[in-house]
Amino acid sequence: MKSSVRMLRPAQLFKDKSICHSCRRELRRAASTQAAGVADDAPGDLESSSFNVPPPSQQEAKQFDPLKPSRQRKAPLPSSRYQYRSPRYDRGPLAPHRPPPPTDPASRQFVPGPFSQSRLESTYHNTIAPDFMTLTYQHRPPGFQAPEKGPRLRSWIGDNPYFANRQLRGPRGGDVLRLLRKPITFRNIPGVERVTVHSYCKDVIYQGSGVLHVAGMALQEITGARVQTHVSKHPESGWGLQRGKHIACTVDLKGEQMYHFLDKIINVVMPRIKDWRGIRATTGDNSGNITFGFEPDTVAIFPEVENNYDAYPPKLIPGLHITIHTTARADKDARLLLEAFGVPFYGKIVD
Amino acid sequence: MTCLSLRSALASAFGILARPSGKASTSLLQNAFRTARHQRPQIATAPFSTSTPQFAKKKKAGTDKRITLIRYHLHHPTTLNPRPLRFSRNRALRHWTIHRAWNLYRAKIKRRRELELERQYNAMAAANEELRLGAGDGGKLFRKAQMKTGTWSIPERGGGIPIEYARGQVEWVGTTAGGVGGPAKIWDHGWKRA
Repeated sequence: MKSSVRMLRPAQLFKDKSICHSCRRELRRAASTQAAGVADDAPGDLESSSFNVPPPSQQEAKQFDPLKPSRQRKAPLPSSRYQYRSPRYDRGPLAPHRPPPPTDPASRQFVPGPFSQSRLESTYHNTIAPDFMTLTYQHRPPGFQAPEKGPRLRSWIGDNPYFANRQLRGPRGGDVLRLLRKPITFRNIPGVERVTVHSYCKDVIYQGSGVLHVAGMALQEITGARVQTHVSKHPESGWGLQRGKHIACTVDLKGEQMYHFLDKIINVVMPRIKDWRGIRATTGDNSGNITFGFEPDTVAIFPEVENNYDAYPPKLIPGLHITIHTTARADKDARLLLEAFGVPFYGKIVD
Repeated sequence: MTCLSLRSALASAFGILARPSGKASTSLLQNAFRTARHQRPQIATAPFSTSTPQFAKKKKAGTDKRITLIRYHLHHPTTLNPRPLRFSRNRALRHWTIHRAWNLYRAKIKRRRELELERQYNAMAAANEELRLGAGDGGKLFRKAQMKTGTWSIPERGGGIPIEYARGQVEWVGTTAGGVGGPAKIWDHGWKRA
C-alpha cells in the first residue's frame, strides 16, 4: 500500500515538463482519487493491532537501533519552542491571523495574577452583599404583578399625516432617558465595577509638560497601573487651552488593583484628611456612578507619595478626580453601597 | 600641579619672570617644564579665582532635577509594554491546564455565592409571607417591617449605614483588653509557659 502511494506521488508525476496543463490536471485528479481510496481503506487497517502480531524475535530485538531514524534524518525536527509571532492588532474574525486570547501568556494583553485577595473584596462578598440585599428587600406576595406602566417614550398622536411612522417623542422632562431601577433581588445586588482616577493638569499650558509628567508619575505610584494621557479636543480661549494639547491623565482600575485602591482610599487616606466632612451626598450622574475629588494636599497623604515625598516637586503634586463606577442603576443605591464600604457622606440628599 | 608650583618656586628663587614661552631661556630644565606644561594647558589659562565658574554665573532657571528623573523613569524602555511571554510546548500546556482549573474554581465560587444569596432571599421572602399572613395581627407587624424610611439616607441625617459597620474582615481580630473602645491587645506580652 505504501509503495502504491509513493508511485502516485504527485510531485514526481508533475515534474515531467512534456505533459500539457490539461493532462497534468487530469493526472492530479487521478492521483487524488487514488489517495482518497487509500484513505477509505485506512479504518480496516486500524483494526489490526500490534498486539495481534507475534513479538519480534530475540535477534531482531538485539539488532534494533532506536537512534537510527533520528540519525538518518537529514533536517532537524522543528524546535519545541513556538516560533510564531502573533499580530499586533485583532482585525476581526475574517482576518487570516488573529492574536491569541488575552489569557494566553503569549498575548500582548496578558496580565498575570491575581496575586492577592483584597480584604475589601472578600468583605463585600461575605458581608456587604447579603446585608445590602436584606436592607433593601421589598416584599412582593406570590402571584403579585406590578401594574403595567405606560411606554417610556410616547408616540405622536394626532391628525397630522406626518405622525405616521415618526420617531418616538423624546423622554419626558429632559433630553436624557434615565436608567430603569428594578427592585433589588439576589440577582442585581450592586457592586463596584471599575474605578477611574483622573487628573486634569491645567498648568501644562503655562508651565510645560513637567506638570503632566509629575501628575502621571504620582498617579502611577498611587494606583499601581499605567496612566493614559488625554488630548484636549476643543480649544478654550478663556482657559488658554489649545486643541491637541496633552492636558490630562487617567488610570482605569479593575479587579484586584481596584479593590486595593478603594481599600487604601477608604481606610488609609480618608481618615487622615483634615477638616473633611466627607463626600457630598448629591454627587453622582443619576446612573450609579459616584465622583469625588481630592485636593493636592490630600494626594500628598497617600502612603506612596508620603513615603517618597522628596521625589516630587511639592507644587506639582496633582489633585485627583475619582469616579467609582458601580453596577447600581441609581445614585442612591451606589451611595448606600459606598456607605457600607465606609465612605462618609454629608449634605442634603436629592434623590 | 606639582610641576607648576615647583617651576614657579624655582622662578621666584632665580628671579626669572614667569612667561608662557621659553624664548628667553632655553635651559634643559625649562624645556622639560615646558613640555610638562604643554600637557595640561587648561591649568595655565585658569582664571584667578579658585571657585567654580558656575557659581559666579547667573543661573538660568533650569528644569527641576526631580522632573527630569520622573521623565527618565516614565520613558524608560523597561516601563513600556513588555514583550509577550513565550512558553515552550510543555510549559504552555501546563499553563493552559492551570488556567482552566483556576477558571473552574472561580466559576464554582461564583456559583456558590449566587446560590447562597438565592437561599437567603428565598428564606427572607418566606419569613415575610409568614409575617404577613400567619402572625395573626392583621399584618400590622409586616407593614411595620416593610417601612424603609431613612434606608437610603446618610448617617448625618439619622439614616443609612453607620460608619462603624464598615470594617474590613480580618482573620484575627484584636481583643479589646482595655474594655470597649480601649486599645486593642493583639499580643499578650506577659504570657509565660505554665
